[in-house]
Amino acid sequence: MKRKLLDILACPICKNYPLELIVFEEKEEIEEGLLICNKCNRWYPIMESIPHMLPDDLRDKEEDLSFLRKWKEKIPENILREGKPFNLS
Amino acid sequence: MISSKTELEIELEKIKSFESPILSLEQYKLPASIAADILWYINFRHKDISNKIVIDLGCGTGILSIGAALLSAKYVIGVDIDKKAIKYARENAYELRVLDKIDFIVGDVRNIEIKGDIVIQNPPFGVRRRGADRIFIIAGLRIAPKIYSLHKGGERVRKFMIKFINDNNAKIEEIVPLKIKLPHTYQFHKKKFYTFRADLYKISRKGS
Repeated sequence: MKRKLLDILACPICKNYPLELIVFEEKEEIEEGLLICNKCNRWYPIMESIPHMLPDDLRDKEEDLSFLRKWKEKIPENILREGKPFNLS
Repeated sequence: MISSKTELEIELEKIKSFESPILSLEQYKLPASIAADILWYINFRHKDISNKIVIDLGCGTGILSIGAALLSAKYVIGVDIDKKAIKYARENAYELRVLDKIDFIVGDVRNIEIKGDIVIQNPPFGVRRRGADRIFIIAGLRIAPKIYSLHKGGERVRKFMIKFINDNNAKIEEIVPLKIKLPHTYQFHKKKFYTFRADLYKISRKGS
């Protein structure tokens, strides 16, 4: 994912703009990271350079939880505890 | 740089398609010749690709996104609900050396929230899932003031489209008829090739 995507992308659920970006790994582009909506508290994973912006009912819970576990050192506390649609609490 | 439609078509021929297409999403690979025709028409008749932010809804394995990038779009975003298709699309963009100009997103066109200059889309025709084509038109008009959308051909569809688009506060500016010849994609396709008519609609929001 390129950083400039943030200029034109909003939260698909609550339409809040802009989204907050947390980068875990970056080369030519962002490879692993997190997009956070600070209004509705949803988070969206960036995996293998691909942002996943699906609505709650189409998300893969197991995959999402293992993503949170994998990067938990770098994910803000409020997302780990209260992030939507899934969190680690 | 691409300097002719034939050259664009040759590049687009290199795109890899689905190993196992998903029937409910009406996935199939748009032939390179048709993709080249569509993109050439949009860019050279209407100057709507070069230096524009182009959004490709239901991008599949990325043929229209990649073609738009080859024609010097400023930035292209391809959106698809199918993760596997998006992975293929990225690989294709990498192979054709345009990945630096494209982002592919896994998302649902019903609620994806993004802003672009134009939308180019080849939505499902709504044969397998009724109304799928309508969802894409509504999404396209939310995302950009101008959309180019490929739909099933025929008088009945045209009549419906004229009313539907007018009801959604937009207008049809042009309809370009196309004939698409596809190789056997699904088991129930009995013939080796089958041909169908499609129409490319140029649609704009009213007042834009």
